[in-house]
Amino acid sequence: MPNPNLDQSISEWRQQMLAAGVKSPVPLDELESHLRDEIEQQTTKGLNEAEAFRAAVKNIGQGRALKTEFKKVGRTMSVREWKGFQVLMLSFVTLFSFAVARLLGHRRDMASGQLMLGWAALVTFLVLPWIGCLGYRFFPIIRSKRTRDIIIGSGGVLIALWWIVMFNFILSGHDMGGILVIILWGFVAPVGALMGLALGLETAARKNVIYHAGV
Amino acid sequence: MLTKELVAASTEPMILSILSEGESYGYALIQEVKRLSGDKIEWTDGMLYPVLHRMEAEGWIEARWGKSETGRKRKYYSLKQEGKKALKIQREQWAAVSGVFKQLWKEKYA
Repeated sequence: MPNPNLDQSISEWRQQMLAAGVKSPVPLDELESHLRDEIEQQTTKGLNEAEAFRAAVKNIGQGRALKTEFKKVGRTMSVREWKGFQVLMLSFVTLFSFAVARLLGHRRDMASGQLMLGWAALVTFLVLPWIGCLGYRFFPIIRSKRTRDIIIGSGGVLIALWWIVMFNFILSGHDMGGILVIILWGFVAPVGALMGLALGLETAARKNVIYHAGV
Repeated sequence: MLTKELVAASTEPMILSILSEGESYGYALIQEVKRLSGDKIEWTDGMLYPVLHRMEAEGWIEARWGKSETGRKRKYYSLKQEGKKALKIQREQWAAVSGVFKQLWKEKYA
């Protein structure tokens, strides 16, 4: 038989949790279910409902702390999401490589040396992300997501700096074939390397089974 | 009381082990670990649910909304195939650690 006073108290508690940023229905409904489990248990030990409610609320903790704990989980991609992300990245790399390969295949104005360099850059772009995904065992297992983000972010900054140098000092004064080769080595291949690094580090960290619980 | 690091490392294998016996829910998991540890391990509610949600996201466990004995809605968790595999690996690792301590401390507690 539901107790209207208890329902009112729980409703107010829900409002406090929502105000603190705990989301509804997940995980707030589950926390309410836990709260009611705890209240039932406390009442069987002899506490009245009001006392049991106060004790249960104290045990479950402050909304802000709960939100922080759930946020830690929310930042991590699920297995399914990560697999989807990998498939998306590898599909993009592969399709892009085929498109550029067609472009290279039709260029008659490029010297054979330029073509070779162009193909080498394209293969680098295509192969490194696949190596990152499939060869994750050769990457170090870095548990801290923050450290992995810093490493990958630093790679991104280095590439951005390299692009600035390319635009200002290298790209000018070349014919179209030369520019294409430079673009492939300067823009495309480093992105492939960065993607390979990111995919390798992330996959290595995820394949390692013992996780540190976010406590 | 256990250190934060030890709680962090042992929470997931404990949840996997309890769920390998059958489905359960948050409150019961906390009570079960408290009982088995002789009140030495008391998980906080705020810690347990994020861990359960992460394990669900990892594909180790799955959740369903069911009914409690009194008819209230309650979320039950059960082990998935991937969770069984994870438990097998974690059991081997914890057994290795435990085996070392057993030998090292054998004389002390004999």
